[in-house]
Amino acid sequence: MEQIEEAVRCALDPGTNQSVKAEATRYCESVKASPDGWRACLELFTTTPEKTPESRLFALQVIDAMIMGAGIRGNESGAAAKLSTTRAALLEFVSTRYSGPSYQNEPPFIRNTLAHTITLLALASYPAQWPTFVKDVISLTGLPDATGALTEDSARRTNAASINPFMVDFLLKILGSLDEEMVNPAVPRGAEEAARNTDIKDAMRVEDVNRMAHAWYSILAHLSTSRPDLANATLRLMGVYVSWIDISLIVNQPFVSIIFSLLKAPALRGQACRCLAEIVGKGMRSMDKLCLIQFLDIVDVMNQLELGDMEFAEEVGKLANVVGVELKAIWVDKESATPDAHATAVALLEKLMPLLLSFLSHEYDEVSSSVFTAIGEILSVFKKMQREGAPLTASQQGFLSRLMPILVDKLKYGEAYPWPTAADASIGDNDGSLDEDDEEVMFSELRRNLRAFIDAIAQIAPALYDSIMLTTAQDIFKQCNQYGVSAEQATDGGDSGHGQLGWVRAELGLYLTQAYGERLSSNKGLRFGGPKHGQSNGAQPNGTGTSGPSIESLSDLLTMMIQSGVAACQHPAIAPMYFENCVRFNGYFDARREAVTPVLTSFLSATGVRHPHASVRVRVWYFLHRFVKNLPTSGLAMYSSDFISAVNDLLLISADPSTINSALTTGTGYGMFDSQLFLFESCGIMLSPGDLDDTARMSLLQHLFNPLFTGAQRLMNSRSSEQILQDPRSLLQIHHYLTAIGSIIKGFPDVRVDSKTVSINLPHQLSPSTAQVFLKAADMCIAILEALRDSHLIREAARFTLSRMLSVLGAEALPYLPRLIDNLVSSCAVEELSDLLGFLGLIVFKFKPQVAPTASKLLLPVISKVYGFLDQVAQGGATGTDEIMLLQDLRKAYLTWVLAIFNSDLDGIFLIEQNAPHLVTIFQPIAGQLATDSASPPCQRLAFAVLFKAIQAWMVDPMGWHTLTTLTPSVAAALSNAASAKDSSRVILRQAAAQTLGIGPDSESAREARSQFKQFVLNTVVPACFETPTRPEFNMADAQASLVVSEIAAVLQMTLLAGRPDIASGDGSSAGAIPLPQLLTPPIGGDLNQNQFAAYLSSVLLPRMGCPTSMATEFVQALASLDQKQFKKYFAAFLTNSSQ
Amino acid sequence: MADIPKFKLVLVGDGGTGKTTFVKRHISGEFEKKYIATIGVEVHPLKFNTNKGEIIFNTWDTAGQEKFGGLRDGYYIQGQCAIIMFDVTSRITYKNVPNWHRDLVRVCENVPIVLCGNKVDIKERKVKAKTITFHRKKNLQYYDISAKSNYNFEKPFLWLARKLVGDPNLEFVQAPALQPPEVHIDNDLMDQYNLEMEAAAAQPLPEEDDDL
Repeated sequence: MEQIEEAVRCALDPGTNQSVKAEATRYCESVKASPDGWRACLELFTTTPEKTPESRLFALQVIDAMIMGAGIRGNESGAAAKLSTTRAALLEFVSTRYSGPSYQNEPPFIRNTLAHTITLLALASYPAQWPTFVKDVISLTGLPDATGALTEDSARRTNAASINPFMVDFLLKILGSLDEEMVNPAVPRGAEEAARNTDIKDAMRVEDVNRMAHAWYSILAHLSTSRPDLANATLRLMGVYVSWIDISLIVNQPFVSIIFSLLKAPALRGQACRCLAEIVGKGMRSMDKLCLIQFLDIVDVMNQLELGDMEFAEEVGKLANVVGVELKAIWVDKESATPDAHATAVALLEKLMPLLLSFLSHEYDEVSSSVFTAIGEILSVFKKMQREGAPLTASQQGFLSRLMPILVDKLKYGEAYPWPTAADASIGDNDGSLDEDDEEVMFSELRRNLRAFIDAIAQIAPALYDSIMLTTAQDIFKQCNQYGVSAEQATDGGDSGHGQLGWVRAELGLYLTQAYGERLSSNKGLRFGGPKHGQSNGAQPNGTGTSGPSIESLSDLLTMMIQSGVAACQHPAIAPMYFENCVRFNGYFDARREAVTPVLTSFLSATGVRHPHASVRVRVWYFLHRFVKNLPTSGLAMYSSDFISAVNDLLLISADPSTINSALTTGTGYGMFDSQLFLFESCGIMLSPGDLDDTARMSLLQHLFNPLFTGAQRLMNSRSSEQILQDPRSLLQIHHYLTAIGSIIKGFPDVRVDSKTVSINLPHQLSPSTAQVFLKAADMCIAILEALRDSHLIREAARFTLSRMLSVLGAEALPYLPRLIDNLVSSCAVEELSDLLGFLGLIVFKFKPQVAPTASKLLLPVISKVYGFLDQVAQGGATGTDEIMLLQDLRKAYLTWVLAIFNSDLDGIFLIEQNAPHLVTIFQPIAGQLATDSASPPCQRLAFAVLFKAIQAWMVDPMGWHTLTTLTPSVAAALSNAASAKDSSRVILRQAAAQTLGIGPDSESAREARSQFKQFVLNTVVPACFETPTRPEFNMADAQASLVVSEIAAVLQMTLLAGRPDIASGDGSSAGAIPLPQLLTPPIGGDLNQNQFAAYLSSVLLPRMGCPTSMATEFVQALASLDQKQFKKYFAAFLTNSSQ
Repeated sequence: MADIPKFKLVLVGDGGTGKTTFVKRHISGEFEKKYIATIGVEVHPLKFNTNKGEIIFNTWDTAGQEKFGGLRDGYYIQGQCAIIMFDVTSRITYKNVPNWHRDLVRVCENVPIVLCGNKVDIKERKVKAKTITFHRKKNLQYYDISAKSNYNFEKPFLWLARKLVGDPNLEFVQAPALQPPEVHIDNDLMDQYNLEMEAAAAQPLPEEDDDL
């Protein structure tokens, strides 16, 4: 025993040296594992003088392990004797040592754990081996051991003095533990365990739960005053046991009257309330539930309670909520509840409604939200009635008209809401997890719930909704207009409606405007300035009698909002909501152009972009960006100059070094600079209008660009590149300069690229001088990238900025592309490469033939970079889930890029002289690895899609008569129309691309590459088509895998087409004679006897894979005669059969 | 040094949920750990600077013996607060949370407990926000975290510190020294989770069904 005690001490002491600790831990393990360890531990636990609490806890763990080892029903061989010895010893221990004050000296964790151990004993041996479990533990307490109906006499017969409160406490622990182990639904249990628990519960229902009820009643009757803690615990237990015991054990006259009396005891009323809520909420049939609620007469009981205490009010609110929910369930139960029962339930519910409304309107949000579920359910019934055309009764309408104003009033911010002061407001705490201490989160939560109710009323009673929403908001704006608004005072001054508006109601007005507009837009969409329905009442409240919300009302409300002057209020609640409304309902400004000036003025004022609260300020920057972006450029020129000078001083860039590696940043954030980018882009937008005088534009543009240019140049010139690379702060600052330049340019519209031609003589949307400035910026950007390409930050900035240049300048910026890509590819990391591939895909798609020469030179370096990463990991093994994910993304990005090359008709870039010899090397891993790796079906699908295009490009249509763009039915139709009108003057993209690359389809290298590719298709691709889906890890039932099968089917059909004698042996011109859709319409493949591929498939490949000749022939027939969809079905069935 | 309040924090949860990675993000703890590295359990003294002075969480990382090994519940003795961790990419680790909670409160009654869903940086999330309701039944605090990217690293400690000190206005005055993040978290993904989380909080709790 001493040894165990010492070992436990060493094992638990963090100060013990490692090897001693390891040995001590091993020793403890061995005690637990040894067959008789539990006996020693039983001795250790019960002996006097007491051993250390730590070792006694360990002893109980060893005993627990023995009990677990005895089998789920305690019936392993020899278990019964062990269990019975343990039981006897522990009960003896409890009855001698816990019956007196020494119980209080026992550490709580020992008491809890012993109660748990006894529970485990009971679970393993009740009822077979230990039928008297409940009787035994109750008899320890001096509580009556009684069964049968409970009367008030039964408790009176008990002598209160004989009850041992220590033992009662311990009994309650055991019963609590029993609930957790056996009933509590949160705890996961196996099927066998659940079956055993059901048996135990059944056995207990015979009379042991009746015994418990008697014991509970005695505790409540005798100990409520002297030991409220025990009474509390008892009420809690009753609440959890009520779910599975006969309700009549608790819901009877004596019990109910004692529980009701406890509703008046301050120490117990909360728990008594929770207990009642559990009783009312117990799963029962509707008719029984109705009887229960009537028997309890709960509505009247609640009406009589004193609710001054906020916490108790919340508990009663929850009870009222449960009652409401249950009554509603009876009301809508059309199956088991009678019409009389419905009527009774509705009557009770109407009796409850005033109570629900009084809780809802409670000043404390916790109390008000306690009845949300019931309110929501009642509204959902009303909604259903409305849908079914059943009119609401007068009293139901009355309920709504009392409910609506309460809801609107609850939407207000609390006066004590803790707004940050201007000084300590921090920027963007984007915390996600719901923090119950966080008032902001809790309040927005509350509003969301209230909004859902209000929107429900909008549907049930549109006129009521319209009248209250509009009247309230209009009154607020009128008051603001007349008396002004205060940022300091939360409440209004003066008499109702005649005094300075406080910020609380000011914010409510803005919020209601937003809610009204959102409801409208989700319902009908917002079309401002459409034909008006009737005369709008303008500022007059037009409540009653109208049909409900309308765009005119919203429009008038926005006008009032803008004219009210509420935007001048400095309170941090106002500006975000105000400007959000301006952005969200931007269509309003199309119809009311005159409103742009006042709003833009507010934006640029001291309560807008220079708002005293930093967090509000940056939010406004974002809204400003959205606002100007949505305005038509035609009207902007008049504001350009004022705009730039108003925001000019906010554009100062100062990198915040804490954002580089700050532990608390979550990735891409650069602090305030992120928000400044909205301003930079807004400036770009303001300078882009075509009707802006070009001289003015140039001067403003210089004004914006100069500090950025000179800032970056000064840093670049101050030190060597090596030195700058060592200085994170400078790198970050340069990154910001470049990104800011890119953002300004982003404000200009994208150039229209005519990718159908190779010429670049499109009319420019930019003035030549603007383009010059942008090109100068591009020069600097590239130069900086070349010097500092080892910095991730600089690469990121350069990619962003130059990609913006490409969008805005179009082909004029293309000469920068090779330098950009060279520098990025040479130093990038895995995740950057994925992004870069996406970027390249877009460029290729956008510029098509124009970018072909550049893309052809980049091809090999990029591919070798991709495989560089993939191989590196293949050799070293992935280090974890995250790396696996990154590489998966890289594979996807790579395949998507290759596919983009084909879809842009640039297949020619694979065939130029430098690339052609590597053709098979490039496609080998696509067919051999990516297509066959079932770990990622999306990759497989992309891989086969790439192969499909390649086969089309080089085996079916090497002359480039047909586009490789993904064939949707509409594209196909368009193509086939175009092809029927084919003439020599039509520019064919693939041919155009080949021209710009300077290769003819007949060139030696191209021919050679194609012939190798053909061999490769037969030797590798086609076998992969059959091997991939028949691998065991390929799951045909998976929806993603099913898409892979479709793709494979398409590859096979395309290959069959390639085997058509005229195509296979011809010079490629035959494909051009027929429109592609027709080529792919069955029967495809021409004369199958002459089709090389058909022959290969039916007589070589399929037989080699063990497919009988007849089946192989049938397969080829199907391949030729079925359309794509039918063949996919056939192919799937073929695969399923052959893999069986 | 003697005046710095110290609290014993017990860190539990299924194996592989990232408990060890989590505590090792904190550099001071990692540094000092060398002196007290042990076999059964590692204790990391994690120091935080608050506006009310320094505090230390002696964090007991029970890694490696989650199920049956070691002294299990013995490590919880005198725990003053706890973090229960599960892995949002593994449903079973969330299912086991009630077991951890039950075992924990048997030994540490009435201590503040934070539930943490780790690995939210991984896109294939299996335990969706709306299914995470256990904390609401037991009055625990819940946080999405990512030990690898340091996302929300300090949140559980801040919440516990406020409860333990009894001061809701306690703040960390400087960011704890953390290892740089190994992965960057996708802000859009986080925003989406946050939205889901908010939506989940608005949902009623699932009924505790009668299992008769």
